[in-house]
Amino acid sequence: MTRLCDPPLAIEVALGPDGAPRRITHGALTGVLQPASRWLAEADWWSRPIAREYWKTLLNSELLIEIFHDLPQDAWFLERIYD
Amino acid sequence: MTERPSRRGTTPYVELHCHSNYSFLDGASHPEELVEQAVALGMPALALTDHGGVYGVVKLLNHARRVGIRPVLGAELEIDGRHVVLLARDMTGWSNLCRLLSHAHRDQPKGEARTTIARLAEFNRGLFLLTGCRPVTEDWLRTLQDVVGRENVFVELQNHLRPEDGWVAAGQDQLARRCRAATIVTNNVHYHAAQRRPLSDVLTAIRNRMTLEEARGILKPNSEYHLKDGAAMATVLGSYPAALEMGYLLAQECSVDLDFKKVRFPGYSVPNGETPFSFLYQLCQQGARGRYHPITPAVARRLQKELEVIEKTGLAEFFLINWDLMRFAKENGVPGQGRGSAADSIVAYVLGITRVDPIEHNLLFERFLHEEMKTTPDIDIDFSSEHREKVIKYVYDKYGWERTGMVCNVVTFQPRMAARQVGKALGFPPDVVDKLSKSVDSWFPQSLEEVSAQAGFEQLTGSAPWRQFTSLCNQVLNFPRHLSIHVGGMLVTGQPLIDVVPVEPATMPGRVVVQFDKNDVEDLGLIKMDMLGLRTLSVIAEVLEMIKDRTGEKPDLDALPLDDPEVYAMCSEADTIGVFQIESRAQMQTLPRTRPNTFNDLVVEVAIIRPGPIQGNAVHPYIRRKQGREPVTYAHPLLEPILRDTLGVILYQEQILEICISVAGMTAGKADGFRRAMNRHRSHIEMRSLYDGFIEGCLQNDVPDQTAEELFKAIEGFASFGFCRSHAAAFARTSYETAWLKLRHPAEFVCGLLNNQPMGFYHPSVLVEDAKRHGVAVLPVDINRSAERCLPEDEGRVRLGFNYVKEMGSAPQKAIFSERIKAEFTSFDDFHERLRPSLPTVEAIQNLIMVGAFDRLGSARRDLLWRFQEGRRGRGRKRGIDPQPSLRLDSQGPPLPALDPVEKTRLEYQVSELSTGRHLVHYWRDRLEAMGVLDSLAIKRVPDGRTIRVGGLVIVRQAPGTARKIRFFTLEDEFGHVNVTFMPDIYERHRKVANSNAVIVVEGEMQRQDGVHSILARSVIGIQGGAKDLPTSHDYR
Repeated sequence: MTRLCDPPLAIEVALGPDGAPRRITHGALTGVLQPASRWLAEADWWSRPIAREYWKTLLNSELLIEIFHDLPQDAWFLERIYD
Repeated sequence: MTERPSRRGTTPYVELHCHSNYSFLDGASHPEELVEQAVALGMPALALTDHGGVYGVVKLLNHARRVGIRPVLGAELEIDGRHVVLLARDMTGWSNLCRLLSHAHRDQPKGEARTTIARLAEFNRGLFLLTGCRPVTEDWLRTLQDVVGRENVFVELQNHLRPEDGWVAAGQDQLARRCRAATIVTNNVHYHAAQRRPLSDVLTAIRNRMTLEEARGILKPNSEYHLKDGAAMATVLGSYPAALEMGYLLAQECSVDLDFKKVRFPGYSVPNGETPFSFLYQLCQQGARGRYHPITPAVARRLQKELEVIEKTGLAEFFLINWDLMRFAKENGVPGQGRGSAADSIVAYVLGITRVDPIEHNLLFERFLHEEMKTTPDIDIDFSSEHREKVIKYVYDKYGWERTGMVCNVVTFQPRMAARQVGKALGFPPDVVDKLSKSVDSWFPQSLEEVSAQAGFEQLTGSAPWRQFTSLCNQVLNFPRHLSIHVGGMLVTGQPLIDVVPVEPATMPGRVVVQFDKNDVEDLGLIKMDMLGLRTLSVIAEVLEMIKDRTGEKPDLDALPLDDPEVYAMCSEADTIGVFQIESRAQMQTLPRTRPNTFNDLVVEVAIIRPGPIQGNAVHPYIRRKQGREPVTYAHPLLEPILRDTLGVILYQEQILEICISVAGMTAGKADGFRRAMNRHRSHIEMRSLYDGFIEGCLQNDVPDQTAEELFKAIEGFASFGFCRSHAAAFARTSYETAWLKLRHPAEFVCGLLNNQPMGFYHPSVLVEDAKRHGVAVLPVDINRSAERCLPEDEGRVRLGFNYVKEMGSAPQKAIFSERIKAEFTSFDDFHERLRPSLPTVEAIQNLIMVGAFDRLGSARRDLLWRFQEGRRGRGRKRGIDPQPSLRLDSQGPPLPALDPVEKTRLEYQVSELSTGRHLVHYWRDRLEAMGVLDSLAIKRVPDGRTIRVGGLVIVRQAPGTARKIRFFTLEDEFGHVNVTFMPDIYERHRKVANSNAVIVVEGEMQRQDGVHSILARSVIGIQGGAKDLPTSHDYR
C-alpha cells in the first residue's frame, strides 16, 4: 500500500557530498535517507512548467518514501509513503 | 541504486545513436550543431542515425572533416516492427545500408521506412547493429545475432532519468551477458543541447497533428535526450564502464569516406577504337567547323587549351554525356540550351550544349573548369518546360533505371509554415493561427513582432506564450520538414545507384528520388545533370511555329544577328513586358538610364539588376559611366582589358579570376579558390592570408602597393554578389531573342506568353493590355473560331483560346473541334444538340456564355445565361420533366436588358482574368477625373517635384530586401503604367488601403530621373476593394 500526500508536504532535506538527499527533517519523518532510485520529470513547459527531481529512498532503513526536489522553487516535498 | 559519481576526467565516450533534424519532425538540431556540440564535449567522433534515411550524412561528413572529428554514418531502421540502429563500418556496409534503406522505402507510405529480418540477412555485411531505444527481448536479440553475427550486435543501455530506466538497463545488461552480446551506452540523442527540448516537443506535436496538450502522453518526459559527454553519461550509467567505452571503440572501426570518384561515370559507349577523349576531340573538331567560318587561330588555340584541361581532369565522358543529351534534344525537337558557367567553354559551345560564343563575348574558361578543380563542373541545361520530361525519360532509358535517380530537395520550414504549425502546436485558437500565418508577409521579411502587430495582436507580444511562440518559430526556421524532388537534378552513377545512396519512390511511377540533395551530390563529386524547365523556351518554340504557320518561314534564332538597333531602342524605352529577364519593375526602371545599345550592354543589364550589385553599390557607378557623367578610369593599366566591357566597374566573377591571374599572378586554380574564399564568410586569419597572397602577387607584377590594396578592397566588396558572366550572356541571348520576337512578331509573341502561363513577371491581363498598346487586337473566345490555345488570326489580331475559359476540359474541346470541321455552330441550341454526348460541364457552358463565346451567333449573353439556367433548374425540371428538351433556347422568355460594357468586362475578368475590350480603369475614368487623377499618358508631361494624383489597377507590389522597407507599386490604367514609391512611414499609415484595394488613387510628388518617373506617395485612397473577379497583383520581395 502507498499513501499519496496530496498536496505534497514541504520537508527539509540535507544533501550528501554527491548531491543526493542524505537526511530529512519533518516531525516523525526525520532521519537518514538511503536513496534507491532517482528520476526527472519535466513537463508542461508551455503552460505550468513542472521540473522535479524525484527520489525513492529508505528512511532510517525501514520506511520507503518518495520525495522530490522542485527545481524552480528549490524546495523539497514528500509525495508518497510506502507503508 | 543509480550511481551518481562526480565528474572525474573525461571518459572516452562517443555517441552512436543520434538523430538530427533530418529525422523529420523528430530531431531538433541541425547536423552541424550536433557536430559543434560534440567538439565542445570533447568527443572524437559522432554518429548520425536518422530515421529511415541518411539525408544528413554529407552535412555531417563535411562539418566533421572541417572540425577534425570522425563521422560515423548510419541510420535507424524499423525491422519487423522493431527499431534498430545500423552503422556502416566500411563501403560494403555503406552499400548494404543504402540497399536496406531503399528496400525499406519501397511500397511504404511517403516518409516511412520498414523492412524485414530476411532483407537484413541479405545485406548484413559491413554493419554494426545497435538494438535501439526499446528494451530488446532474448528471442529478438538472438535472431539479430544469427543474422548479422554476434560480434556485430550491441545491446543499447540508456538512462534518461525515467523511473524505470535504471532497472531496464540492468535487465538489458543481464540479457546481453546471457546471450554473450556486448553492450553499448547511448543516449538516443534528439537535440544537441537541453534548451532544444521544447522544440523537440513541438515537432512531436506537429508530427502527430496534435496540440502539446493533446500530445502530452507521447512527449518525452524530460530534457535528457541531448548530447552528453562521458562524465555526464557516467552519472547515470557509470556501472557499465565497458559499455560506456564501446561507442569510442566502435567509432574507431567505422571508416566510410563516401569517395565515389572512381565509379562516378555511368560509362558512355564510344565507337570502336575510340576513347572517350578521342571521340570528344573528334566531335569538337566537327562542331567547330559548324560554328566558326573560318576557324581562326584564336578559336583553335582556345579549343586545344580546353581539351587539354578536360583530358587532364578526366572529364571527357562528362562532356560526352551532356553532348548526347543535347543531341537527343535537337533530334527530337526539344528546345534546350546550356546556362551558367558552362557557357564559358568553347567545348560546350561547339558541342551545341551552349549558344553563346565564348570568344566573341570574351568569356573565361577558368571560371568553368581548371586543372586543379576537385569537383565536377556544373552543366545546367534549360529545356522547354513542356518537353523536359522527354529528356528525363531518355536519360533513364540510356543509363538504366538502376543507375539513374532524381536529386532530392529538402523542403524546409519557412515563416508562414512555422507560424501556422508552431501556433497550432501551442494550442492557439484556429483564427489566431490563421491570422498570424496570413500576416507573415511572404513578400517581405518581417520580425515576428511586426507579424503580430499586423495580425492585430500587439498587446500579446510581451506575454509568455507569445515569447515561446516567437522563440520556437525562430528556432524551427530552415529546419528540414520533408523530402521533395529537385526540379531538374538527375544523378547518374557508374555503379548501381542503391550502392551509392538510398533511393525512395517518387510520386511518378517508376521514378526514384535519392536521399542526397544537390549540394550533397556536388560535394561528393558525383555526376549530376541539371535539366531545368524554362517556360520561356516553350514560348519561343511555340512562337516560332506560329510564325512559320502564318508566314511559311521559321526564323532561325541561332543565325539572328544580335545588333538590331530597333530591338535596343525598344529595350531602352523599357518596353519589355514579356521579355526574358529584363521585364521586372527594377529592370524597367533602369533600362531608360543605361540605354543598352549592344549585346554586351544587355549582358551587363542582366547581371547588374540584382540584389547584390544594388546593395554593393555597383549599379550607380556603372550607370554614371554609361551615361558619360563620370569618366571611365582603371586603377591600373593591367585592368583595362579586363574591365573594359563593364566600364571599369567589377561586375563579373570571371573578372575577379582574370584580375587574380593577370594582376596578382595566381594560377587558375588558386584564383578560383581565392574567388570562392572571398565569397563566403571568412575568419580574420583566413582574410589576412588571402590579403597577403593577393598583395604579394600584385607587387611582383609591379602594381603599386596602394593600387593593390584598393583592388583587394574592390574585390572584397564585390565578391559576395558577383555574377557569372557566361550565365548572364546565355540569359541575355534569350532576352535579345524574346525582345526581337516581341518587336517583330507581337501577335505570335503574346500568344506564346498567354499559352505558357504561369511564367514571367506579369499577370496575363497585363500582357494583354501591353499587346493592345502595341496595336495587337486581342479577340474574345469564339465558339467557332477559338482553338485550344491562343492563336494569331492574322498579323495584328489574336484570338483567345479555350485555355482562357475556366472549367473547359479537353474532351468537350475535342468534340467542339470535330463538330466544327463538319460545320460551324449556328446557334447555342445547335451547339448544345451537336455536343450532347460530350457536353462541357455546366460551369464551362456558363463561362463560355459569360466571355461571349456565342455572341456572334445572335443571342445576348444575359438572355442565354438566364434561359440556360432556367432550362436546368426551372419549372420544367421541378415537375420532373427531362431537362434536355427544355434547354432549347428559342422558346419564349422574358425580355432581359443586354449587358452593359462594364458588366461584360467584369464577366470576362471573372472567367478569363483579362479583358479583350476596354481596360477596367476606363470605366472609372470619369470618377478618377473628378478626383483630379491624371492618367499615365498625362503624367509624362508633369515636371519634377509637382504634387499630383495618379490611379490605376495595382499590378505589382514589391518590397525588395535591399530597399530598407521601401515599397514599390506599379499601377496600370488604360494607357500604360505608373510607378509609385512608398516610404516606410507612409506605407505603414496606408498599408491596409494600399494592400486591400485592387484599384487605388495615390497622391504624391512626381520624381523624375533620366526619363524614369516615380510618384513618391503621400496618401492613398482605395477605389475598388479586392474583388475576386479582378486580376491579382504580383507581390514579391
